[in-house]
Amino acid sequence: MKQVQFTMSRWMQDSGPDSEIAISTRVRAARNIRGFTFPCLAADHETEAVISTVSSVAAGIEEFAQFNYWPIDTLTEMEKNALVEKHLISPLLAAESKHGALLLRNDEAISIMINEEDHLRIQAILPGLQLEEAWCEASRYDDLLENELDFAFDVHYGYLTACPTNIGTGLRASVMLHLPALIITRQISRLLGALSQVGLAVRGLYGEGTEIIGNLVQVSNQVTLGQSEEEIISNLFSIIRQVIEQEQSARQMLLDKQRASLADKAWRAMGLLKMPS
Amino acid sequence: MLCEECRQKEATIHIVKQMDGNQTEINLCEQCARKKKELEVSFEPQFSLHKLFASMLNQSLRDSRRAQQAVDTQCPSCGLTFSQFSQIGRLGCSDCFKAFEEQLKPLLRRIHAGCAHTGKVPLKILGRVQAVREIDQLKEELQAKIINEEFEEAAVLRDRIRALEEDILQKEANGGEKN
Repeated sequence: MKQVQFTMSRWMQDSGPDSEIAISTRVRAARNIRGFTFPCLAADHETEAVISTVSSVAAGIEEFAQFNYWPIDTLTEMEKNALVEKHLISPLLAAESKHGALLLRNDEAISIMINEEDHLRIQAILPGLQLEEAWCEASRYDDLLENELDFAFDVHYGYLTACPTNIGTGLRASVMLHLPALIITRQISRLLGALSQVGLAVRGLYGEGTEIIGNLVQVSNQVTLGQSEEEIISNLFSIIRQVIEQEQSARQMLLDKQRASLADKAWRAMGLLKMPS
Repeated sequence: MLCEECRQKEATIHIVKQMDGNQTEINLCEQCARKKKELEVSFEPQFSLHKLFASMLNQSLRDSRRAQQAVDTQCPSCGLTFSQFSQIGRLGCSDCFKAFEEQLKPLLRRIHAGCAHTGKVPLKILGRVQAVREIDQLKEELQAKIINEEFEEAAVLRDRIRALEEDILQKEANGGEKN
């Protein structure tokens, strides 16, 4: 079995569209397999059956030859932490899943969590602002698995998920934004209020319940039912574009009007980095 | 200030108790505060969406006149009861939606943009889903025709709905497409 890589993922190193502000784009689809109890209520033999079903299906699909497979309980704490920090698995899967497992593509752009809150969480993560591209990638692997598996789907409610907040498309699309100028100019709180009014959630770096550190925020859709994937993606895209434009103009404004204090901040930061005490 | 319990870590949690006119103050670090269960205060650092959702559910249960009946509803497949669901905020299996549909619908309306999925459909059952969506639309048209007393056109719609429904049943019988 291959080792978990501790080096940076491609989404961290490569640049993408608008990547001076939009660090990365993440899209995930929640899927469950018909006939199996959802992981939070499932007995051990059922979570085991999900694992063996998914891994044997994946083994039979050509595209999955580029994937590594790890049961979570075979990983060291350090490996789990590395995967969480690279956003390839969730803290939940690392900490408390029964028979949790991970399928990870070699380039670390696609990760599929097994037995997290839902049986499957298919995730695509790309550098910069690439919502459509990320959804296409995730959807492609969704299609491949769906060919072989019967997903829990209701004609009216769409994909059925353990938490009713994910029902319908099962889609959560999020963009990680670096917004120092909006934070320095104190425009951020107004912006966050406006985002929540249009049905978007704003979170800190590591998702639900984490604080804003390093001027990084994650903006994601809340609604998963009643809008198609394309609508969700294009709504989010157009709002993120506006946030990016606001950050750009705030950056320009700071450069024009507060160049000295901005330079002071930058030199102080440089000083700290160069002279560790 | 150091934690009064372990006297090693910085006290970050300060609790002031007012009881019978006496005020007592306790200063603890997070670990010790967590151990002291008698304080009955939650120190969970993470704000959880599930808990918020669960509390919304509890609220709507309290509002409901048929609250007791709702609490007793049980999913026939996994055995989860509605009161259990409203505590953990997560469903047990794919049949729970049918079992709790009546209680879930108003909530779905509150947190989502409606109650009907309009997005992606598994390719395997696309034909069936399209037929069901068409039937739903025809039924709405049928209602409108009946209200307007356009009975001849209503009869045409009724026959189309029947034909579509039979078509679905036949496909299911052949085992070609399952839901």
